[in-house]
Amino acid sequence: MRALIFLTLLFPLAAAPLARSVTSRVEPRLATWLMASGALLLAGTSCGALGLLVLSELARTPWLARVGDWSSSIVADGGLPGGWTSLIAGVLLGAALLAAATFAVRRGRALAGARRHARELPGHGELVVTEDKCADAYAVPGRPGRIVVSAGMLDALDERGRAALLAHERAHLRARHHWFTGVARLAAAANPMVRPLADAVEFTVERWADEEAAAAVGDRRLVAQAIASAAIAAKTTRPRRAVLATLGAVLPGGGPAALSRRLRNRPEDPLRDAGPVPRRVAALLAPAPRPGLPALTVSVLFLGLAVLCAVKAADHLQDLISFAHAVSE
Amino acid sequence: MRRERDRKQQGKLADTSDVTADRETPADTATSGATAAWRTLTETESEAGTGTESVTEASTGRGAASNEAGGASGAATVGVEAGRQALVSGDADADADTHVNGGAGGDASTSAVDADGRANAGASASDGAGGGAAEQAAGPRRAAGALESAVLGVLWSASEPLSPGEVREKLARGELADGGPTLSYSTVVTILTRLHEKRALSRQRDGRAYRYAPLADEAGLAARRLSQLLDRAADREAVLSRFVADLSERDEQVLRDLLGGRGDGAGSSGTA
Repeated sequence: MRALIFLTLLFPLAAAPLARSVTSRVEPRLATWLMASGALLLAGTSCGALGLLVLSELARTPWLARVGDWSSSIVADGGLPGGWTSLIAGVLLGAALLAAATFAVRRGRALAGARRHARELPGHGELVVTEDKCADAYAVPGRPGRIVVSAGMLDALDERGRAALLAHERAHLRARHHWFTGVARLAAAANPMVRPLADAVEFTVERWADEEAAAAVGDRRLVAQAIASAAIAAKTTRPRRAVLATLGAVLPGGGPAALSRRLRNRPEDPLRDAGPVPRRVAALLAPAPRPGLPALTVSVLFLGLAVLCAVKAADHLQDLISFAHAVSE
Repeated sequence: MRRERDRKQQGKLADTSDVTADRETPADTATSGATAAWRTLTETESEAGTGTESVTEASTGRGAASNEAGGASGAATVGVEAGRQALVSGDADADADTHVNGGAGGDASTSAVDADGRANAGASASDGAGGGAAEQAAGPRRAAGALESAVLGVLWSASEPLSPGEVREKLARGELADGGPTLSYSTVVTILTRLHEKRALSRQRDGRAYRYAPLADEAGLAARRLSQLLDRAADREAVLSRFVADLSERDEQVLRDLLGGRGDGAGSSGTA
């Protein structure tokens, strides 16, 4: 059981390669589903494993054994981890749950704020055009969600580019992409090791919306050009954004992940270090993505294995306790 | 005070408390708000019902008052669904709404009433004057203001002031409403004149006719306030889906290489 628990805790180490391979090989919509649920599973199983470590120590305390009516000596002889291991696990689990709860509250507030603003925006249709000279466009999740586009952004795009932009933002709202990113970030808050998956989900929802836009306007290259024009216009017209927002945009991708990418970099590929925009454009200039079933299958098997390990470990503990219960009767 | 300077710089309106403060200074409002109006071109998928007109009109009015207290004072609200607009002509099944809140002088705190009142007036006016064609084209629910919305949509997406003839042409090409009958020239002129009276459009004489352009003003105040609020909290920023992320210098170079290598630049419409 000890081995199973520690094995379960090791699975999240594979989050980075998993994210990389799924992002590049699997079609964006499937990739988003896979990685968001994968992040949740890996964070869930690792928290569960920590919980088992704590429980196995608790189960041998005479007090709990009396309450639960099982033999504490049998449990103590069962080869369960305990002592310091359990203490550390308890601290980690507490920290993980606290971080997850904090994140959930903050994100919940942010969503409620966005929803309120979506309601307060003028008009009652989906699209809001502002006369802002800065090129900017974003979707505000809400009921209904709204799309805010500045005049500066409209200026930067031709008619078909605008259609692509709207299709992109609509895809975000319709598919409720903020839930995918929210779930993945929640998992990353609980277990920082799955952060690469959360970063990847934030990228693949953009890709997902790009593909939807390409399908809507029927021209991949057009969407690529609209994105490029919009990004360059935003760069030249947008005032320096709030430091926090910029940091938030830079840090997740520019941290250790980027460093490790740089280390194994093949220098001739300019996209390796590139930000999300050039990568999205490059993906749109390439042919439409294939489903990527092999990579999908491998990833699903891997995640299944992680769940199996966790379930087996939990099973083992339960068996031991039932046995100790039977003995004491 | 900070807030006055901020608003003069167009767009750094700090937060709700500042807006509330503005309500008490009509004079201030009048100077910077004289030309103020925001407009929104709104669009919904046609299958998504938007509730009854009267309810939405009223809520728009309230939205005008709360979002815009610092900007436009008495607000004329014109809002109704229209057919697909030139702005988004790629979209086959879209309804479009336009709201124009044209500012005049006056006390901002009364604008809720104003907005409602004038919205109704606007709606009935369009029933009366231009509404004949609209009713035939789109039925009574869509009639009110639909044409105004469509016309504004055309002007919004145009890069230069348009003559009534050009507006009419673009409307016909944009397939107003559900491909209803083409508007007569005089109907278009009537709508343009009415919009001009509502201060939604500016016009300049060009030969025997006028050319119309949407009024440039402090529109987007509400949305800008929103994005500032969002900017301040990184969490909130995280729930928005921004079309494009910030670009580093290197990203820009990669982009230009990606698109430029094939013969056409990335900044296809003058942004390069």
